[in-house]
Amino acid sequence: MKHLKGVNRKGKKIEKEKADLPVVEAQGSIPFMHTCTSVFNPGYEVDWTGATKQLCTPIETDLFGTTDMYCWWPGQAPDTYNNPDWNADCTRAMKDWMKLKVVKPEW
Amino acid sequence: MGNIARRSGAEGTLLPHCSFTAEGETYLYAAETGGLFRMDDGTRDALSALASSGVGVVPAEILSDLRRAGLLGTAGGCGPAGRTAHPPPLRLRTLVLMLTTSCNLACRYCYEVREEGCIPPADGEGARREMSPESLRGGVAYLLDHAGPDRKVSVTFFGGEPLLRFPLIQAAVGEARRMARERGKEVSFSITTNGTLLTREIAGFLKENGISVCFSIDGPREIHDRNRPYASGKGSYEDVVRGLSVLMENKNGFPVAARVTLGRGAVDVRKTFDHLRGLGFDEVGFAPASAAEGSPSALTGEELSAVMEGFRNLTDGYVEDVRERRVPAFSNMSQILTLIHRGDPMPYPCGAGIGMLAADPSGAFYPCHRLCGVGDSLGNPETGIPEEARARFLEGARRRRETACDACWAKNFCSGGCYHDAYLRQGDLFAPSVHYCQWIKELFLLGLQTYVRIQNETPTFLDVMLGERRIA
Repeated sequence: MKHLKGVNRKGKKIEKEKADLPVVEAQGSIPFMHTCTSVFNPGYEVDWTGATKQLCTPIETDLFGTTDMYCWWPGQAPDTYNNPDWNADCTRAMKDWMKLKVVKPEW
Repeated sequence: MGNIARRSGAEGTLLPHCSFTAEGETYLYAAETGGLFRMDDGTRDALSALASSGVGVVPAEILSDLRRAGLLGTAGGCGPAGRTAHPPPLRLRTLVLMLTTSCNLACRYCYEVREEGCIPPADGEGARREMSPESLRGGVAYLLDHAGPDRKVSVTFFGGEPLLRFPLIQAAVGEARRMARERGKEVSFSITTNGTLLTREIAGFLKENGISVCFSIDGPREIHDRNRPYASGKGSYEDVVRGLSVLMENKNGFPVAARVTLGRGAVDVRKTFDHLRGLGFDEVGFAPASAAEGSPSALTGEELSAVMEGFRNLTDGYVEDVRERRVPAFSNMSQILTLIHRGDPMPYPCGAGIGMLAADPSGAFYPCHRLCGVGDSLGNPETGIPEEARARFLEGARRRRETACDACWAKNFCSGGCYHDAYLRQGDLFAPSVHYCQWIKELFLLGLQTYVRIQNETPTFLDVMLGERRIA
């Protein structure tokens, strides 16, 4: 932690415990929203079948569309080279979007 | 694209915190983790941006630090307090024994229901007023058998006025020690008394048995006598001071503490503190009288402000004491600093029903001494305490903290406040003590600022003096 210095016992513990974890560096700054939406909207596009495979542009374009400061939900999706089947269980995205796999970064 | 790799919306909320200035620097207290941090200018600006309406742009590195500190996420569920197993297991450390409900004083603010102060035992109303040796023995056995792996437990003699039952105390101390030895435990004792009945014999017994003593005394004669008279109306100050001098002649090495109840018209904290220190008390702690809304004992808003000013004044003296390597006597501040120092989230306002129980004169268990007779008992030494009875009680407390108090940065300090106070004020054990919210926050902010002052000047004090202090 570069910007916060632990003062009490708990603060020092947090500072020490997390010191070994790498910080994911970002270029410039990233947007931050104060609240979450209350609208049901998973936040990505689907094709006419309700899936993603036939979209004319790859779904990764959504990432670019959601990383500016005007988007309500900054996007994150795994890359398909290292995680080719991350959406294998999601044949109909509108219905199955909760089955998208969570990909955890390996520290 | 949705936030797939993380929990949806999990980092969309700025969690409860307190940022403040002390000693020319800016600090941040994160309620979800209990961590206290010094922050740089960039973090301070980022917090302002995040707290203002609309969209803020915050450098990733600062967001990362704030996340680690416990500032970003979803309140409650992800914080350490939210992970507390429910209900926490019963692991007794302290049993408060209400030896009698009788008292020789008639304090104006007493929460015991009584029409006159001096209530003789067995008034025929059905409720037992005196604890029997059998009930006492049963309570102590239960304490020892439910202490878990903890080797040390403590017994507090309470009342009414417990010294009215001095022969019972004499017998109990030896017997409890024997019972503890048989179970491989150690038991210590304390007593809360009004001090009027202390004699050389009693003081000698307390010294010999290492019993720590807490005196209920409200300050100089004019203040004390107004709030703590005998039933006849005669003031008790003279007898308390006589009792204290007898005790001081037989001091056993344990600090002698004064417990001051702040009632209406008696809020000169500085004057009271100085007077009690002059009498020889090692520690002085203050508590506002528990009173129903509109009761003549309840402190007014102006009086609460006066108390806060007095606390600020005493806090300056506290820091000075620490600097000069004297043991500070203002025990309210020691308590707050201990909570800050450890930073452990406090899911419940006190140990009632978890590490502490009280037994009423019949031997029935209640969560604490103030709640004896309020609602159903939790059980007794014969039947034990059904887990569902304890769970019902603690569930109310947990619900309060996770709903009404969830967004408050001071929740680790008060956790909604005293059950009994809420009961008197609002008729509900689990109503948050909203009448004290602002006052409590002011007090804890004072604690945070004081912690930083001491950390900068005398950091060793915090570990040496506060590290092992037990939180009542």
